[in-house]
Amino acid sequence: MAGRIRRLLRLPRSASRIRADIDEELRFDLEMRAADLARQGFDAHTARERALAEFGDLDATQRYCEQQDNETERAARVTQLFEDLATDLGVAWRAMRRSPVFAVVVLATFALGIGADTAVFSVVRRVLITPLPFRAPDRLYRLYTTPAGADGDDNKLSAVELVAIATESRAFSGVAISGNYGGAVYTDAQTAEPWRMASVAPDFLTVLGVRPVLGRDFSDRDIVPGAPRVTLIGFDTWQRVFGGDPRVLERRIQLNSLDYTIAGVLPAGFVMPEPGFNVIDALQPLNVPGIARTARMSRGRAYRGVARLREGVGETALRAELPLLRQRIHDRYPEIKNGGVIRPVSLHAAIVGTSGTVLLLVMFGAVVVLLVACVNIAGLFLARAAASRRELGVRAALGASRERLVRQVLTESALHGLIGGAAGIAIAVVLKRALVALAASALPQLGEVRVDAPVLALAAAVSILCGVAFGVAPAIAATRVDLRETLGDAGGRGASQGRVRVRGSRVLVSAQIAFAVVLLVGAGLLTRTFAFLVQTNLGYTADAHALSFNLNLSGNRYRDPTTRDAVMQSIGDRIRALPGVTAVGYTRVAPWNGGLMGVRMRVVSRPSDGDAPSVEYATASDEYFAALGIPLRAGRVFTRDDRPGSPPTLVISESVARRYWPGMNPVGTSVRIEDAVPGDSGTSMQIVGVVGDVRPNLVDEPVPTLYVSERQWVGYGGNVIVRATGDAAKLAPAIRQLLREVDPLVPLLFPRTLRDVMHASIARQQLAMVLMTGFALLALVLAALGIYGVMAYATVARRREFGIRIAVGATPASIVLLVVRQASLTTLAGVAAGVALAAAGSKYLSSLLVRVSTHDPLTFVGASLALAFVALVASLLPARDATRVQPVDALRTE
Amino acid sequence: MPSSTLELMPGTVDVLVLRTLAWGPMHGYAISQLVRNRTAGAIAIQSAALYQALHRLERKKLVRGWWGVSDTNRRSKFYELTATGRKQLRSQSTDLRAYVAALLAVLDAE
Repeated sequence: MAGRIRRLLRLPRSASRIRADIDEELRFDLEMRAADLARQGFDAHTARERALAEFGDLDATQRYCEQQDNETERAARVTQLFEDLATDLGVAWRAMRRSPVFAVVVLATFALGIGADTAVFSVVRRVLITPLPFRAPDRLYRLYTTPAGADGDDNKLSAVELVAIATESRAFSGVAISGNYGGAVYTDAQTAEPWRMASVAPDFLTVLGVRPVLGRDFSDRDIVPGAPRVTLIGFDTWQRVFGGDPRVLERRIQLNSLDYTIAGVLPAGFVMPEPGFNVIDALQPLNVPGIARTARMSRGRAYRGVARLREGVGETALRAELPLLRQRIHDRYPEIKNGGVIRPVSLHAAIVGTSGTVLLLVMFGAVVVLLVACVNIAGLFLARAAASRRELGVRAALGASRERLVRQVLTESALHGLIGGAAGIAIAVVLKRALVALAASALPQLGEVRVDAPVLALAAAVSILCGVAFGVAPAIAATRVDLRETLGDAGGRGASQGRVRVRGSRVLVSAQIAFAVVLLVGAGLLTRTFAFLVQTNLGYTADAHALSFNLNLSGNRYRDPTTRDAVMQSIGDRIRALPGVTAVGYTRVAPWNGGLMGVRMRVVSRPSDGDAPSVEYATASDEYFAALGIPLRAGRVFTRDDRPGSPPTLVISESVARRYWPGMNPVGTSVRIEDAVPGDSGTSMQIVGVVGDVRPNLVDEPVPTLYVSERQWVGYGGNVIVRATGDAAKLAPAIRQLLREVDPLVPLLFPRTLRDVMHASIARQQLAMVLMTGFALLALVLAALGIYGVMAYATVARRREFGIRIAVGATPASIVLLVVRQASLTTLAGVAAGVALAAAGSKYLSSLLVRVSTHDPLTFVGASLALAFVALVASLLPARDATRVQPVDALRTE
Repeated sequence: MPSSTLELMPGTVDVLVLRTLAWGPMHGYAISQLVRNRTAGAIAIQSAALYQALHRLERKKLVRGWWGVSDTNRRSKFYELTATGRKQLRSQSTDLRAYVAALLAVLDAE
């Protein structure tokens, strides 16, 4: 009987057990034969001898049988493992089918959690983890400077500085110098399209450790004056425009109406090591030494450098060398009075910038949501384990080992994890697409984000891990199954056991609430920041009634400034004639595109103070201020009479007026501008008006600016702003048509409404806010479900108690109070823990917060109250059920 | 009727054991008794060969063994045919019959 049960339960036999069994079996045979022979008349001794002789080789048989049985056993064990798994999966599957609501809730919760995490991770992997596509990218440093006076663009350095660093530094083995980041117009027989273009020193790719996949790199011959124009085109551009044709080499193409020969094709996945300018269509050589020798241009801060740390040189040696280098540059070019502090920043950090913070924050939010979901699911499993205690008890009584029971429980939870994870991956693919679209302007464009094998592997691993984790608590409960309790006359749960379990669930709920508070605080701080940003007074009207686009007048046709001025005037007049257009203005580089440059201004009548602070130098057409909606404070703006040949005029912004002429009216004063002004810096210009200050975008502070008349310093096109009474975006087709009539080679570049431009400037904050709010709401809902679940369970567990209380006269209100009080303690503990966590962690948000403190009381109090309220509502439903307990029913249930 | 006990030809033990078990579950000694009685002692399976066959057949999952209690009230190991074993018996006895028939055809030929 025992053996039969052993076999029924498929318990394995040990080797010694096998040997003993065989001995017994063979002995039985021998004794039976001996007994038979004895009955035939042999004496006992002879019978035994004869039986043994008849048997044959006993030892060999024993050995043979043992060997056979061991193999049988081994095979049985393997089979059993699979059979057990199949049984467990079957049980788990039936359990899922039996409680579909439970399964759906668990799977949906988990799938959302895994989906969010996988999607965010795929982006994190692309932007933060995948190394930059350069040789030894961790030895590359982006060079920054600290310009004197005003906080200008610290991104760019002068040619002399860069050349000095490249040739004299011992720590750096080379500097990849680039500049002229911007657009060019590619034209062929059929099309005209904007290309992203930049100029680079001939050794730029060598320093980065990149080789063209096709053709050749730039060489010093390409920057010899008079050398034919050559270009390297991007891999994607090669594919898109030339269909990947290898015969593209030495082919002549037109960029900005100039002939270029394609010297080579950049490798696939190449990105420019430039924050905010990663995608490139074409590179052209930049004559850095030539520029450094040209007195007029050498000191203009127009170039960018990425330096490579020499092999074997550490950061310490680098930091030690920088002051010496700076001193040498300063000695050689005393006129560079910039303090000249060169700051190397790890290239990866420079490119990723604060979007890294956003991504880590979003990743954190997604992980917390997954954590809350897991805690929630663990709670659900724990509650259900209570229901299946009897079943587990029965199986334990039948001889199932603890290991077997634990495996059963874990199989069920892991199955949920796997199915949920698979659904999560499907969700991730959709979410990733949405995330990439949402994050387009907030993240560096380092290549396509993919949900690929490593991402999937991680998602699968996390799914299984979480799946097993859900089951740990119920599995522990399973090992504590008490046979007497489950099978004995009590037949149900002991009161004390139930309480322990509820306490465990309440800890889980408190944890969920704490996590939800953390996310709510984060979302709150970001939302308040965003609200402030949106309300920011830019100093101009950035709405959907203003359209911004770029014009590029280059090539032989536009060599003459008079022609360019005439074309710009003509284009302006034609646009102004379109229905609904109220003003058309233009500037060289719009403030939201980074502005033109920083210069130093000197008032003619005052003695030179040598260290004039930097102000922004901009150009403006006569209607520029009207088109943007920049208010006039004093004097006048430019008119059609501020044209080439008339006395040079200047309009300044309020803060310039305040700084140089505090309490006075600067209109009529003459000033001279130093540095980098095209033409000569000696010209004195008369201030004719004062206008309001403008911010370049919603995040940055207003920039003190002086404007010269675009017509007096004619550029090669620029940034046009059209203001209209209706939706300005609708004007784009008409303007495109009109430009085609003026010159088919001048396309409409980057048309966007100013509202879109401004939204792009706060895309990072918006991305962080939208995602954090989403995660926080998800966590809030999950926490509410958790509270509801655990309180509902606790209420059922206390039915008897409530029944008795009602029987002896407790009012419904007092019962509700009883339940709610229990819930409040759980909630309060969670909120307190959450506030503490959020207060400790909010400093990591500081780089994203604008005008909001990391300990903003309104946000912290608001988040706490929101959770307390939700928790209260979630506990009221079970409380209401508690008041409906009938005393008689309550006594009957046990 | 042969005059003395016949030596079993190799390979025939397995099929004999399976055939015997087809009557019903029994322990090893009962199998050898049954074979001896059925053939009036003409065929006797040596016990060593019998038990080796039983354990081999158990490994091949053609028979299933379990511990039970014999008529004499002693703990002993019983064997029964599995479904696979039954199928195997059918095909092997067909083969064996054909073999014997062929053998006879040669031996009986004039």
